[in-house]
Amino acid sequence: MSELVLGISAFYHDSAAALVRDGVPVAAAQEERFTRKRHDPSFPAQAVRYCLDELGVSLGDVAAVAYYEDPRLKFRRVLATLVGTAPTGFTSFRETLPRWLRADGKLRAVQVVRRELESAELGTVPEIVVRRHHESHAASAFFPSPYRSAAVLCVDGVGEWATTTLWHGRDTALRPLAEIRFPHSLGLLYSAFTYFCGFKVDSGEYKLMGLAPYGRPRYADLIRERLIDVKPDGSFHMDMRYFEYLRGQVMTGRAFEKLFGGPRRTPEGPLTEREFDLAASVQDVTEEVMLGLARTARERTGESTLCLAGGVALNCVANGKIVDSGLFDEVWVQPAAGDAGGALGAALAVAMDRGAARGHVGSGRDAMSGALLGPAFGDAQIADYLRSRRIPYHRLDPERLVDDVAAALADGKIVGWFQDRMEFGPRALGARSILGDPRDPAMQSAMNLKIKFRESFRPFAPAVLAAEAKDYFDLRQESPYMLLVAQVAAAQQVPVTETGATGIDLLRVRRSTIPAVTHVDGSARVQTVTPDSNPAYHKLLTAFRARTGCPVLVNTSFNVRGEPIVRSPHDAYTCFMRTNIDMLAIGNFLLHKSEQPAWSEESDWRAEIPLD
Amino acid sequence: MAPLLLFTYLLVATPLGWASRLVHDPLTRRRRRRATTYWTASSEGRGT
Repeated sequence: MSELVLGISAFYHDSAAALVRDGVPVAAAQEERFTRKRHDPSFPAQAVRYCLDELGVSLGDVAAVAYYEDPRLKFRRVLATLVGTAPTGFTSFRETLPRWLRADGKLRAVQVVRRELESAELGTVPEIVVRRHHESHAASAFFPSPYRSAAVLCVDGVGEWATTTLWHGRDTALRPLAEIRFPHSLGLLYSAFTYFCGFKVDSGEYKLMGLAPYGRPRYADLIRERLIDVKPDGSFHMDMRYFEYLRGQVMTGRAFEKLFGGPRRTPEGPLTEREFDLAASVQDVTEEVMLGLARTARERTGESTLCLAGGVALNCVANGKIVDSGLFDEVWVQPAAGDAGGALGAALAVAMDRGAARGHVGSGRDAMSGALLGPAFGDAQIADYLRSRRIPYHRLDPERLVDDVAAALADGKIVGWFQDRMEFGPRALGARSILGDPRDPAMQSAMNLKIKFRESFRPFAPAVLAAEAKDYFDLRQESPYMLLVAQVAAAQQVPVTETGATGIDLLRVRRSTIPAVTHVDGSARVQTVTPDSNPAYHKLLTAFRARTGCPVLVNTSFNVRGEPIVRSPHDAYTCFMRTNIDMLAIGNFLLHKSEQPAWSEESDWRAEIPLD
Repeated sequence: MAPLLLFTYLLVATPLGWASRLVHDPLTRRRRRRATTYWTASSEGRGT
């Protein structure tokens, strides 16, 4: 008799639900994909409903619900912070305390979860079990990993008290070894610079990482001298006089401004050399700390494999440095490394406690099903949608569809690719992706400005046939979840003409045979694709290589700036029509933009999507 | 609500904060110059 555990993360950002059957993730989704509100923190009612529907079960069939953090312990930390900063933090006190203490407040999160589940009428609500925030991260990192035993490192902003934790995972057990506690947080250090550079906290960190290669780390020593004391073992202590997050609702204040030569960049304001250099500097320090932490993980556990989770584990440049260091034979990063993955981790932790096994260990594969754990739409559902809207389409057999899409891509077209189950986690991995030809030097700019409507400095990632990845990238291991950055292989590099370009202008310098996915420092955020992880996507890459000789495609998430990745055929068609995507491959249906009726909306959709 | 919060803040949180900072460093803000590591033994484990 199989046993189900439902995991839930909610009420901070990226709410999600995940369903685990006998210790194996079988369904998971973020609420934002249903509500269309990016990073939606509300109770994941629709994600829960999806997970249960996916298996055709009710809550009455679920053995336990696992909540991803301990609200009471977290409240103690909030209270200690409010009291510890008095009398200088009244604004924070006034805004924070009511949010925690009201009848449906965060302190009563478990009761709220029970009430929400009951009101959803999905069946009898089983017991609700709490797991700590970092335990949820650690479980999400280790239990689905391919390893029988491993060192486990979790690094994020903060959960209850812990901001960095080190664990030893063996079979179905995780043993906590050491931690670093709030307010000393590598995630919050990175977020402080994200905020100071004019990007949104808990969202714009990725942009800061993408900005770093444009700059020089000329502030790195200043950061080490004044902001963070880093020990050789990677542990760190921050000087809180420079940060505001203890006593206010912002990350930095005057002391930070004084240190870095003036006020923070206005959001959406021009990017200057200072922001490039600040990004490069904090990235440099982050990599140093992560390498130190990884070294300690190796020494303390003696393990030759490492599992990573927590928001900082989405820093794929730092992850790449850990892989390159050779400290570990292999590194596995949970694809939903942020708080959404906490839902999955909590469910896995409870499942293991209840006696589940890790049956996948020994197969050489992880238990994440390529992170394709979200909803799928069959051809009948897609056809119903297209017909109901009188949308012109071509229904093709799968081979013909792949061939037509590969031909269009080789011809410079940009294609929306909507196939199979939706990805769980922040990255599009070839199920809800926008694809293009990486050989085209104009593709990066065109996709940023005409498709994604986002900042021109942001790089795009390559998807590559795993068997040919080494011909294109200096990658020591597979990177199925696009969470490792590697240099483009020397064989693909082209001589760079010295133009004297700086800042954003560096983008115009061609550095490789795949310029659309080569960042200004010659790096790329690689996704390796195997036939078993995503068969349709693998076939498309194979067909593109057959036409062009190039086994690489540009892969970016199927959305526009500020919008969650598309979930349904309707979301996909809307995004297709709002942007300059040339073709939409949705199931076995191919839609050409030139054949579509004119698109009109009553209001300005761009004004309705908040910028990220 | 705001006056009550201000009252609580000034008459409860503030003296409590001062007192706690006199006897220890609840948010470990003071730098331990002689420390060789900032790792601490793990308190992670089961939720409350």
